[in-house]
Amino acid sequence: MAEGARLLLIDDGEAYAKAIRKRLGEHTLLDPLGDAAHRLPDGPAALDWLAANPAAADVVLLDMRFDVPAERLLPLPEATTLRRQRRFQGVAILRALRERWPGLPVVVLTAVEDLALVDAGDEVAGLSLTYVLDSDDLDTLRIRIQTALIEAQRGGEEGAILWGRDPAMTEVRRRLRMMARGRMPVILEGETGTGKSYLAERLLHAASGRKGAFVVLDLSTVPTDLIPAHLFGARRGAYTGAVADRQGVFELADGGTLFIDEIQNVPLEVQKQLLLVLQDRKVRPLGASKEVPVDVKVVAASNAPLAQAVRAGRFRPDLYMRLSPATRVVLPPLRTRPEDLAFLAQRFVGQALADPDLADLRDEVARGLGLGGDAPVHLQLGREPDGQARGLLLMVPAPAWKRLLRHPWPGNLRELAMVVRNIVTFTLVAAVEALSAGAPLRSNRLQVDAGLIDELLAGAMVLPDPPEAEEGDDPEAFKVRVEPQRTLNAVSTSVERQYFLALYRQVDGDFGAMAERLLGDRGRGRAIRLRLNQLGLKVRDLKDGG
Amino acid sequence: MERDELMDVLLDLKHDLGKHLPRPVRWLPPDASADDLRAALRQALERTHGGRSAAALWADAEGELASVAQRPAFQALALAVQRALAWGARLDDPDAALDRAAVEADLLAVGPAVAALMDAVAHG
Repeated sequence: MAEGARLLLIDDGEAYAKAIRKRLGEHTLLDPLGDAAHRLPDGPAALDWLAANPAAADVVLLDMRFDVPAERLLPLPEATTLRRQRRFQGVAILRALRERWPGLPVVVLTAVEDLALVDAGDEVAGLSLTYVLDSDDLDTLRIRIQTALIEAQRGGEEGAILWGRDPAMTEVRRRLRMMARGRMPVILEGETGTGKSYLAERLLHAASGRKGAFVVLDLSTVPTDLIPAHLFGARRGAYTGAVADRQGVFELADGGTLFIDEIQNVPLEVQKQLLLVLQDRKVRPLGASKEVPVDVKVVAASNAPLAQAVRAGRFRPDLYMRLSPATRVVLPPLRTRPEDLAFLAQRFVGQALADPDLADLRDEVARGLGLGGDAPVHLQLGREPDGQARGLLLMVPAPAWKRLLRHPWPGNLRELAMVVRNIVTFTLVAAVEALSAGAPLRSNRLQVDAGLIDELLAGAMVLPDPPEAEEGDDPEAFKVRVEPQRTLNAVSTSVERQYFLALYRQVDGDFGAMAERLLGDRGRGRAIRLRLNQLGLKVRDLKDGG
Repeated sequence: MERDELMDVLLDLKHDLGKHLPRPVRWLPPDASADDLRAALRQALERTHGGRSAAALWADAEGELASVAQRPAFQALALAVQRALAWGARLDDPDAALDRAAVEADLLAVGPAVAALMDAVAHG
């Protein structure tokens, strides 16, 4: 697709449009407004057009400075004057594009050094599928477009990766991209929820060009004595219970990538075998007489430094060396990069709204406010918006924002995503209920309950999985596990969540049946869906068995 | 003038002169004719940005930058701008030869000179 790409130019001036049509004839510069200008003149026009034509462009070319009326500017909080709002308007537009169309490549028509003037250089450099032109010449632009097209094709999923603005994450991204090439193993270290498996699949595997499968083996979920069979496979009868041949993960990942999570859990006596597989690229299933050649890129993950396990004698030094510790990548915990919190939280709003249930809620509130459907939703964290803000604003009070900043985030990105999802859900549900009750909402600012945030931070990481019903139990009764929480409200939420989950499973996801059981009215399934959302239970995940 | 205001003036200058002054020549195809080069240079100097000439844009900025006029970085910038503007004298002389590489180098030199003054202002 390097040739004949459809380019969408967002630029208030005509110079680029003319030059691109004249000099980059191998591509098609779209004429989005049909006025022969071949460009969209500002952020709002671009967002509107892309919302209506989400698949019409292959690459966006985005100018940085927009000398347009103030009412046509998207908010850029760090720009303190109107002059700077205009000068760096491209940053605001880029953020909106990344949030709503993360897989759409964007070439920013400016220099990185200029972005540094609004502290946006690292942010932009860390964004997926985002390329800075740097040099104002058309040959460089041609190369950037080509790179964007190739990377978008090769690793389109990377567009969904949220890197943040922290320089440490920029370095992680750079290293991972380098290590995606070839067959060299990679060690990924990081606390739970930092995105190890996600990055392994979406970046290391996606960008590797390997045609085989991405296979995951989570050793925290495999009984120790079954680990060899899971790793290397087993022939029928190789051990008690081996009633059929079983392929190991090395064979399953042949030609692809094997992600071994919690690799420190491999028993010492199995580590030697693992070392031999890595060295010889051959695997011998348990009970087999012959070795099977395998071509696998191994990504080994650990939630603690593997070197510690080596020093403690729990991990073989030769295996550690074979895993190439020089290529070790450490994903920083969220608490060490608080400056990313606002950026990531806003992106998680976008992810949450990809859920059709939440999008429906958003549209219902937006219509109630006369904003029309598909309104953007922004988290306004601890301060008033600068200037006129479009869409729905979820106003997080300043003390609650401070609390979020101080929170240690033991569950890292996963925890933040859950907290944000709940903030969005509860706030939208409250607004829907207010509208249903006839309360007029006159402002696009929806107040987030500070108490809710306290509850979420206290309870998000300690909600237990629901216990399975036991044989012989009353079929309509469920056991719930009550564990100490910080507040009674968190205890209630935990209990209610377990109950809803168990009931959902019992009735095979039939909301009508749930409504009948709980409300005596089969027609109130929507109320059940809303409540599930409030409890942070994503229907899509439930359907997938999550 | 406060430092932030100075930086704003310099940012505008970097955009209006640093970026737009060399652009018409820079964006010419490699096999552009002498007439194309002359037309591009005229556009660069006379319709630099927002319909204004490079000389007018510089005159405005020069006035706003009076407080840093004694700095070596400003004087280097002024020299770079004058070298670029000097090509205008050859525009109306059809016999005057235009060396594309030399024209481009002079026009391109303005941007880094603005950046150097920005750096000097930013660091005291």
